[in-house]
Formats: sequence, C-alpha cells, structure tokens
Amino acid sequence: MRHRRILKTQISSTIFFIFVLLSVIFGKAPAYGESGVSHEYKIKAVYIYQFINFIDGWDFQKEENKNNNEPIVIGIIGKNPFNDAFEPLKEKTVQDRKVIIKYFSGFSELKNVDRENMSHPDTEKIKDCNVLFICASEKNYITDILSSIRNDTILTVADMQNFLEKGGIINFIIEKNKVLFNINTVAAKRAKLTIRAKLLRLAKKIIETDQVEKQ
Amino acid sequence: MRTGLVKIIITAFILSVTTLWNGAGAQQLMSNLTDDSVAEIYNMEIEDLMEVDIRTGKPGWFETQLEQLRFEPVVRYDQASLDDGTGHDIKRSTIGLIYYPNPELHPIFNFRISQDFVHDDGTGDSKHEFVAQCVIGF
Repeated sequence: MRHRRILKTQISSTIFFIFVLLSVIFGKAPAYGESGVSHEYKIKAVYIYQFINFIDGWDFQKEENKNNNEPIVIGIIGKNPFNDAFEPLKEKTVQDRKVIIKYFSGFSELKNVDRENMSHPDTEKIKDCNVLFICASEKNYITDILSSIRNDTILTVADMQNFLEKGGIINFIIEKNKVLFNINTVAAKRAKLTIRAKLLRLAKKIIETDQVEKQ
Repeated sequence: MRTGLVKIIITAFILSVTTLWNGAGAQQLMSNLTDDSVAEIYNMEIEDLMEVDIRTGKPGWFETQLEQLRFEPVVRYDQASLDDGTGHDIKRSTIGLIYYPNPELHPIFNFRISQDFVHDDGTGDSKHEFVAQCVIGF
C-alpha cells in the first residue's frame, strides 16, 4: 500500500517535471513586444489599401484615365516601419488596378539636403504617388514634406502626433491596443480628394480646420 | 535525493539552452512556422480591422484574452453511423481545454485535457473518459 502511494507520487512528480521542462523549452513570453509591433504595421498596411476604396477624386478615376493600366502607387517616405507587411498584398488589386509600393529616403536619412529650400531629391517621384505614408522618422520635416505636395492629389497618411493639425489627411492612432484613425477633411479637400461618408463615419475623430487653413 | 539533484541539473542545463534558443534567429525561425492571424488580417474589411488587437493580430475581446492566457476551449460532438446490424451508432461529446505555452508553436506543441462523454460506444454501452495529452509534432 505504502509502495503504491510512493510510486504514484513519483509518477505525478515526474509528469509535473516533464510538463515544466517542455513549457520552459518551448514556452515564450507574452507577445506584447516585437510581434505586437509587426501586427500593428500589418494592420496599417491593410488599412492603407482599404482607404483607397473609400476615396474619390484620384487621377486614375477620371474618365480619360479609366482605360489605362497604370498602377496605384503607395509611397513610403522615411525609415520604413512596415518591413515586409505589404508583401502579401502585392497580388491584390484595388479598383481593378495593381498597387505598387515605392520607398523613399526621408529627410532624416538624406545627408545632402538643401536645408534652406528643403527640397527632396525625389520630389517628382513622390508627386506621382497616390498615397504617401510619412514615417515617424520624418516628424521634424512634416511641414516641409506636406508643403512640397500641397497642390497634388495625394492622400497623406501617418501615425504621429499633430499630423492632421499640420495638414495631413489621415492619422493612425492606437487606442486600447487597436489601430484607429482620425481624418482631416480640410486637407482632403485641398488635395481635391473626397472622402466617402462610410470612412468618415468610421473615423475616431474628424477635424475640419488645420494650421495650413489658418495661414 | 540523487534523482532530485539530477532533475535540478537537467533543468538548469535546459534553461541555459532555452536562453540561446529564444535568441533572435530562433525566434524568427519559430515565428515563420505558422501565423494564421496574419492571413486573416490581410483579408479583412475596414470595420473588422478596427477590432484587431495589435498584440495578437486577432479581433474580439474574448479571443484576445484567451490568446493571452494561451488557452483554447474545445467542444466537440462525434457521431459515426455503423452498418453492423446492431442498430447502435457511436456517439460521443467532448469538452476540454488546450494549453499552448508558445503561440507560434501552437499546432505542434500543446497540452490537452478533455472529458469524453461516450453516449454510445457502438455496442449500446456508455462511459466517460478523462484524457490528458501532450502533443509534440515534428
């Protein structure tokens, strides 16, 4: 009887020992860190694709351009936080057009920037973009970037404070671990873009005035 | 006494190996193994994206909390029609819980406990079973 009890205790402790060992070998700390960031930018990448469907006024929507097969261009300026988040979207089409992603060095990375005129060497290529995501690395150059494309039909998107106040159109925010967005309708109007009611309804906050408007 | 010491030594050894295993290279390798949530995100509509938790890549409060706890509930009902002339079919209900210490290795490494309620085992008998499993895939 005593032997059986000892044997049972030994078997239980061995099973517990194996359980702990396997958990230690294969276990991993909660995914708040690195993978959280990657999910965040995967979500933002999909958002950017989806935004295109809710906005009118693009050049490719015009009657004369309807039959050309020019792709929609999403530009990313600055230190790219997306890594390969856009890769799975490569094959997808938006409004029957292919989407290509172009990456531009930011002012923060360029060494030979004309500090007085703040002109980007790729300004013309940037102007060809339909959507421009301005990375957080460019937060000190937001005004310069936005003013260089002020008269162009480009949807400007970012995820930094005061982006909309400085004249950006859509800004991502994080609230309760979810990616939401705010919209600046005045900036959209300046870019000759019309944001559909559905997107406006989904926005967390809509601002109708900004610093550019006040100037 | 000696067995206890051996267990401590083995644990210490495995802990050191784990520290190396959890390094960047291994983490990358493991994260590439499987991530169903990524595929889901890329097929989502804008309303659904607004519900996705950036920590898990999954929508919904309940799902996110379970993911954080690393538990997955299991509810199952099986029925197999037997053509053996006895007139009995196999009928079984299962409730259980899956615990996965590492979300990225979820399909190939997890612990399961379940209570099987065999309503009919094909002969007209019924019985209940408690099953504890450790799943390691290769």
